[in-house]
Amino acid sequence: MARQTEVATGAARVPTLYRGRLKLILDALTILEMRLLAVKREWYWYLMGALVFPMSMFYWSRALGANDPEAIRRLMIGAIIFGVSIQTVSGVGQSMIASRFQGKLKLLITMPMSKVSYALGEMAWVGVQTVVIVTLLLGIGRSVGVDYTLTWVFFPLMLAMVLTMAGLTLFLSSYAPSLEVGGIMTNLVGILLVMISPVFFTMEQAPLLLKMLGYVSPLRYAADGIMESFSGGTYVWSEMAILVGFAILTLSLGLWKLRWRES
Amino acid sequence: MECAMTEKTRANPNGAVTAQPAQAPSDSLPLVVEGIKKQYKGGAWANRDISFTAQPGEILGLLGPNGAGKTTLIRQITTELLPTSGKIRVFGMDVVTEPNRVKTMMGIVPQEQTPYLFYTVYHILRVFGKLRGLSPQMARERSIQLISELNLEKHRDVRVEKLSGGLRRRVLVGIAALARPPLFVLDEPTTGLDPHSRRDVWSLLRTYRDEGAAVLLSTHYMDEAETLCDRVGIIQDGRLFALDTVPNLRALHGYEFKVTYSRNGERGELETLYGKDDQELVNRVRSMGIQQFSVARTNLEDVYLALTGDKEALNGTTN
Repeated sequence: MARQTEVATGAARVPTLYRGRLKLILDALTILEMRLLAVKREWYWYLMGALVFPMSMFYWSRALGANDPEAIRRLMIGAIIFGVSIQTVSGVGQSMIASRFQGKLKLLITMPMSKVSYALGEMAWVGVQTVVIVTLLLGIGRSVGVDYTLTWVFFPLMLAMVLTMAGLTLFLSSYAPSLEVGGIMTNLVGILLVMISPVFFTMEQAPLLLKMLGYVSPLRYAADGIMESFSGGTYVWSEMAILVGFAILTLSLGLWKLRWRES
Repeated sequence: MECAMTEKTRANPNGAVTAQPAQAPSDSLPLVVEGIKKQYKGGAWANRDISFTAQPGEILGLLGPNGAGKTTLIRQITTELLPTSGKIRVFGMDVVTEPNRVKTMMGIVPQEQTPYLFYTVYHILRVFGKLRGLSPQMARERSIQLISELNLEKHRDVRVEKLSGGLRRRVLVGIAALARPPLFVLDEPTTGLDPHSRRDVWSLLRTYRDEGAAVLLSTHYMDEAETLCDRVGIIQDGRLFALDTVPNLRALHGYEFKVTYSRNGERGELETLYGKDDQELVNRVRSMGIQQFSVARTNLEDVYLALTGDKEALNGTTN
């Protein structure tokens, strides 16, 4: 139950304070507000960073000879997954690592807030970016003639994928030995995961090694589920279940490793 | 101990749930540290059996050389670091089991902290006000009030990156003061500041003390401890050697006066004699045939040198 409290002590009176679950949610929204305030002036760089690489990948792949509408759809899905994954990894990773090594987390830790609020705020920030990137990429895709029919399952699939990548990044960034190496680590893992996963092509088209990696890559299940959604289908329960499992696993690991106090 | 913040909740007309003010028990001190020990993984002891209390309306300084264990102790009090053993209570609440409730009662300024550079002074105070638990409206109002209290009106819409070190430190003290906490914990709040900025910070801390808050700060500046603090604790090698008012520490030290002189005129090396009686010291120096000397009361630095083991500096010239 959300509560506010006012405490009278021997000292000056502590003003009315939010507490409980409402505080948890408000804290997460404040973290999101802090992120939005920080990018307000240079938002266009963030947008370009998010769009340039997936669009380039899409056009390169298409120029290499993909003419089949289904293959083009898959390329579009690959571009979306690539853009969102990289943005998630670099957004959460940079924020976490900068917070750790530039001492910003230290100031947040002095506040009466839980690490869950902090993580939720970062996820919300990633969510905002995802909505912008996906909307733009879908619009660009439509304008260049990609044929797709979106069904509602696309949204929970994207959410589960973003949470999985954010959790993985939280976990990895706790092992970063320095600001510089941390940046390399998270980007490397993010890019590698997209590149080795069958997202720009199907599992059937993948060479044997990538097939084997594909079974353990959450992005492959996201790509397969989104492919079904793009074809107008909604039967993605197995992909959804696996992605939700990945999200729970990586977020649990990420929150466990997020250092809010030391022993 | 049951905490002071047990609440009776009721719904207000607009549906939000508010609480009746709850009174802190009169026996709950702002800070009680009991037998704190901290051993790091490598086996090194950072704190050894430290106990003390902080009273409402006092500034308590922790003085010690670098590596003495001041920051480790402060990080345990601010819930950032878990103690190996011992108890720390803030208004009766245990810092280990109730960290977030403890932090609602505490304004913290971490060591060498730079606030977020890309926000304006107003923005950083407002968002941290919300993180402290203030409503958006109250966070706005309190930010404006603090900007005035901290003499930051001219810098209200200036990004933190453009502020001087002293102004940034003032912003950090402001962040700590957002919810008017009854306990402030500051780790070397004036390190690296120029004299004017240091005095600005001192003035703020005195104001909070005069309003009834307890202030705990660490420092390695003797003058800061002597001028600002009502009581001073001296820490070395993780141990709290002494904790008292400066006059009482001087009395504990045993030497109230010192006479400084040179055997070889103005160019000679300065020597110091310590004693309980100034007239007796003067007579002794004169009996050595020395006519030029100065007599003064011992200060905190003399006590500090004696207690922290720089005996050579003291004993070498003490009879």
